Amino acid sequence: MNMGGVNPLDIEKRQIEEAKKDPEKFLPLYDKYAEQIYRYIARRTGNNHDTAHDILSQTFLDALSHIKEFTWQGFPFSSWLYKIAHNNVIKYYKKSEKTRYSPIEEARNVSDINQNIEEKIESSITQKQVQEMMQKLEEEEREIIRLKFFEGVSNIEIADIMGLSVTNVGVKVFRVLKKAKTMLPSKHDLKKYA
Amino acid sequence: MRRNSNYFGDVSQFFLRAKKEENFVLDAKIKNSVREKLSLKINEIKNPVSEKTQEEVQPVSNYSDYTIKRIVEEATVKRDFWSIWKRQLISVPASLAALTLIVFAANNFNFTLQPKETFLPKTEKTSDLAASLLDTKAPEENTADSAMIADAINKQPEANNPDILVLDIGSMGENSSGETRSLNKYQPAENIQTSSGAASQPTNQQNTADNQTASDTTQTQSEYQTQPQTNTETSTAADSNVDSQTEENINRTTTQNVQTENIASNQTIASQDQTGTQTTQPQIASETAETSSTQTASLNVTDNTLNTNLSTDNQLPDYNLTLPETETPATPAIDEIINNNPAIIVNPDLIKSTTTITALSEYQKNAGVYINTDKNKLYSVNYYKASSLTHEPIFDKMILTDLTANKTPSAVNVYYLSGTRVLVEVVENGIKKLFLYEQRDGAWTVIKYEKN
Repeated sequence: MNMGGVNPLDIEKRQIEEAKKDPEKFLPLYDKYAEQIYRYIARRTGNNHDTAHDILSQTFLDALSHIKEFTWQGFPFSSWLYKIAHNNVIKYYKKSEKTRYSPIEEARNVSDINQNIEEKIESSITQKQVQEMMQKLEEEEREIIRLKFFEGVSNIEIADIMGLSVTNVGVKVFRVLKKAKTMLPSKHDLKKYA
Repeated sequence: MRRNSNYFGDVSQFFLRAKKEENFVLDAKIKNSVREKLSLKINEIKNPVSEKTQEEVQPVSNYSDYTIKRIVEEATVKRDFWSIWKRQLISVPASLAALTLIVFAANNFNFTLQPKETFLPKTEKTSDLAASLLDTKAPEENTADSAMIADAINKQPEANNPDILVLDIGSMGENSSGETRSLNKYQPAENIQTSSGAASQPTNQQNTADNQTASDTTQTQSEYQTQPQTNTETSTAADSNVDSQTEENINRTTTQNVQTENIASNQTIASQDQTGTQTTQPQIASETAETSSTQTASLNVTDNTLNTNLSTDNQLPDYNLTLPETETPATPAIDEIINNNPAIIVNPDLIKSTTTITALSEYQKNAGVYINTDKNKLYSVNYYKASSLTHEPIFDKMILTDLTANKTPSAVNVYYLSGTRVLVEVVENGIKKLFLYEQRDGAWTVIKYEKN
């Protein structure tokens, strides 16, 4: 964790303290986490650019407005941003009364155009399988998968973001993986998408 | 744990592969746009006053890039001290000055409602007219009349003034006190009728030897004639004729009211009274001349029945002596009754400030006399109802008999407030007694009593 004697979390902590005193210092934090938070939001909004843009904007505006209330707990700043984004996504869907399901397959539209045909097909198959699997999971389970596997967030951070205990998160991760394993497509199923 | 990782390895790999294959790219434009919003927000945090001014113009989140730049530039310009504070420096003292002026004006000026409009021969509904009349009862209303009254007293010796109607009820059978009573605007309509009923004597009673009373009468009469609006109100309450009449008719009724007194006093004095009225109020007199013949007949019916009533009015106080101070309206509005008698608690939903009391024509049949069985004497009863009511509640009139047992009221007013509430006003010896009845379990019960 300690990279060459400089702990990245310490740097981040100092940045946050500076941002509390001078809002201008918030911009580097935005630059650092904008892409990451956008991906998380886009994944949940089905890569709807406008919606993702709005939620991203609102997330960072909220973070800036409440930066002084932020209490350092040893987690990356992104955990707090995820939490805000998570709440904003929920708020958005409550407001628009749209389904919370995020069709990951829409992400195919922005796949790298340089991918060869074979890769594209494979990617398409995987995305479709993920989409089908996610449809069968509960929203909380989907959120755990998103954070755990797509955002690479630790159980402690997931607990912080979702307001659960760390132990509870561990149990839930285990259960959702077990459930996902049963849904995993067989080789035969893979051919079906080919 | 390691075994679990291996066990779920395929699942993990599956998700990781999916993540790798997904391609969510944050567009640079979007990223910069959000950054601009953040910059604007940062400016707002740093300079709350100037940015607040901008917010009033347009919400931050809806700005285009060009607008954002323009606003940022404007914000920089507006940030100087004077721009920020000049509004406060000007507006605060101005507000204080305005507030002081309002307080000063409220304390030093008496706002009076002059009833001039009621003389205009415009057509309006009776209920509206009644409401407007009831609204013109500010106590300060007649302060301006004092000079006029004094002038009238000085200019017109009471003995030879044909304009003054003096009703000497002292000559009545039971009116042994010899008091001379006259009409005045502050006297309830029922009192007027009572007076007229008592004064079954010639109008030349104006020349009564009771100089003191005549003087009072002069004052009262002058004021009475200078405030015909209130007379109209009295007439409206007493005669209940106004529901289908225009305001012109109200003016007629005003005169008729005067005439009614005359008729009641002596049923032959109508023409004399017209003449007297013409002297001081030609416009009303002309109306009187036109309508007196038709109105007299109907009024006579009532007055004939009232004739014997006022034998007991010798107990009534001389209103003239207390006239300038009391200024009690002839027909008190429900609101006023309630305001003057805070002990009376009524349902605010039923009686609101907007409630108007209407004496409808259908109540005409009820208005008139009522027999006080104990003494076999008559007194007038007038019925009013809140305009919101379509039908009068079934109010047992025997209640009035009980209420006036062993009493000699000069007037009884019954106000139908709601279907279950009735306010009865009994005026006796100049004292008003208010009984608020409520129908409970089918029986009318007094829930409040007030005496003033």
